[in-house]
Amino acid sequence: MRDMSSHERFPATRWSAIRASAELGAGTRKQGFSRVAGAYWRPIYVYLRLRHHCSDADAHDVTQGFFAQCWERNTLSSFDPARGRFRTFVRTCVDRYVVDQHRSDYALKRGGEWDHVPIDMAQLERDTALIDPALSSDPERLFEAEWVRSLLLQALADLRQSYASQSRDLDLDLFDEYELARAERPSYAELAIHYRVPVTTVTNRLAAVRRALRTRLAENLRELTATEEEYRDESYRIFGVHPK
Amino acid sequence: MSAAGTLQLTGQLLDRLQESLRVPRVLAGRYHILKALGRGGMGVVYLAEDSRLQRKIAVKVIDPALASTELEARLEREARLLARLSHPGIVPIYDLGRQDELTLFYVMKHVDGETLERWLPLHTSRAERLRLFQKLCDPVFFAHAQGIAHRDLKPANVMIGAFGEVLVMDWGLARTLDGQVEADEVGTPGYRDLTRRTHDVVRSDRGDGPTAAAGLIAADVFSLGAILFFLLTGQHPKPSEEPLDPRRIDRTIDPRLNAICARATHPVQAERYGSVRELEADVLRHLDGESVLAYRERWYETAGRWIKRHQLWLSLIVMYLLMRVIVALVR
Repeated sequence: MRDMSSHERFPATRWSAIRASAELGAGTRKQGFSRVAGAYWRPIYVYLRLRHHCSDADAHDVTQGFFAQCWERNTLSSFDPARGRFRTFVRTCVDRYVVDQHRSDYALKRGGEWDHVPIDMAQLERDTALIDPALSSDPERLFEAEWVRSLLLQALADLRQSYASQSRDLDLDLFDEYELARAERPSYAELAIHYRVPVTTVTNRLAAVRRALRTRLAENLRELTATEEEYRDESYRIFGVHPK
Repeated sequence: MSAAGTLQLTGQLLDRLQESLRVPRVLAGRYHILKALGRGGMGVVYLAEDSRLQRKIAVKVIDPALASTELEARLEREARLLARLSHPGIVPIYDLGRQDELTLFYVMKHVDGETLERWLPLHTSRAERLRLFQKLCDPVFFAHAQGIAHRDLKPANVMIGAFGEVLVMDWGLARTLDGQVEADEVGTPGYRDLTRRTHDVVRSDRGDGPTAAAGLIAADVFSLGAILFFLLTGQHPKPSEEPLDPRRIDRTIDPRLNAICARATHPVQAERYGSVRELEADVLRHLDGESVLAYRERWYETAGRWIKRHQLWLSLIVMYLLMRVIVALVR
């Protein structure tokens, strides 16, 4: 991971996991496919649970089976950016897979170069229980919300790893206490007293982490979109102003 | 924060986190964002309301997905350049500010109008289009006189106001004429001067200031020539190493206009108009029925143009002579 403090613009030609996942070279393809699967297993699982009313075990198997089929048939290579965004393409493929599922048993036939996606079911089930069931009536919104959640979780995990390796514990602690507070947020002054640092340190460190998180999120997003236009569209959905 | 693997982002937490990463809805406590108007190379322009002065304004914010210190510097430079350009054809800037560490923005006049791309299909009169072109040349020439080149002139960056005023927008790539010119490919294909990089940038790197300035002016002249092509044909020009030739698309276009367009977009910068004013003057000459610098007329074309230009007087003289003949015959 790059040094987050530099926050320079990443190159426009950044590697696209989507393009790589459709490559013929096995190494590149697997790397790209893993990246796509890593970002999509969560929204797919939740989508199956809430939209298709799968049990937890079925959702797990169908998710794994879906990726196994995509890998074997190289389904992602048929994505055409001119016809819509990649996220919608994946959801449509999942719907199709569910309909055809009774005729195939890819969930059981996993093997070859592609193994499986590591899914933490217990965690996912806890998360799924918190999702507003009303969302299941709007598949596009449900899938999008879960996709954004997946992206943020991944970016947070990357950030945590990077900061931990740089021993920037204070930055992370401040971020946890302020941005990820489950109850009411503490004030900057309260945080400053608690960590025995000036208030300006609190605000500066929080600003740096937010900026780093946004950069990381944007980088991941660029990897998971096929074209510059799709990247700009998706990033606008996440970062743009959304007047109430 | 809990361990990353087990972090639980509830809906409320997700919303809050996203909110802190987004562009705020209210900037500087007074600019309330209403909707996005458009996205450019580096920024998003929003329609907003200034709650203090109670008027609509436009706010340009760096596209959050692209935010970087480099882009912030660009936005700031754009704002400062705009502040130097006080002209009716250049959208005025009102404020430059920072909402938080992630959001640098500037506030400008909201132009209630349409881009040249949208305006064109509704205005088919060639003379009307040429008059608009003339208005467009004015702010560009003014900017050059202030030592600033736009570098991204194209129909999408030209707004036509409700009262026919023409405004040049998006000065994000503008440069001062005395500064160093980077070897970057700026501009939009078709409207970008393909010769600029190889020719003038190399010279500017040697510190040849006036040549670099001439190169920047010539590049804007090229873009204006390409816009003239668009105005005449209704089609965007394709990137080409040849001078643009609108008559290849529409044979009814006057050869003089064709020559003006070709001269403005000549691949050799020295063969183009030396300034925007020269280009504008040639278009004006054409509108006034005079000969243009870009085109060497044949004698019959000169005669035809002369007749066309003086057709009112000629018709009066012919009518007078006819009357005299008729009167003489009657007597």
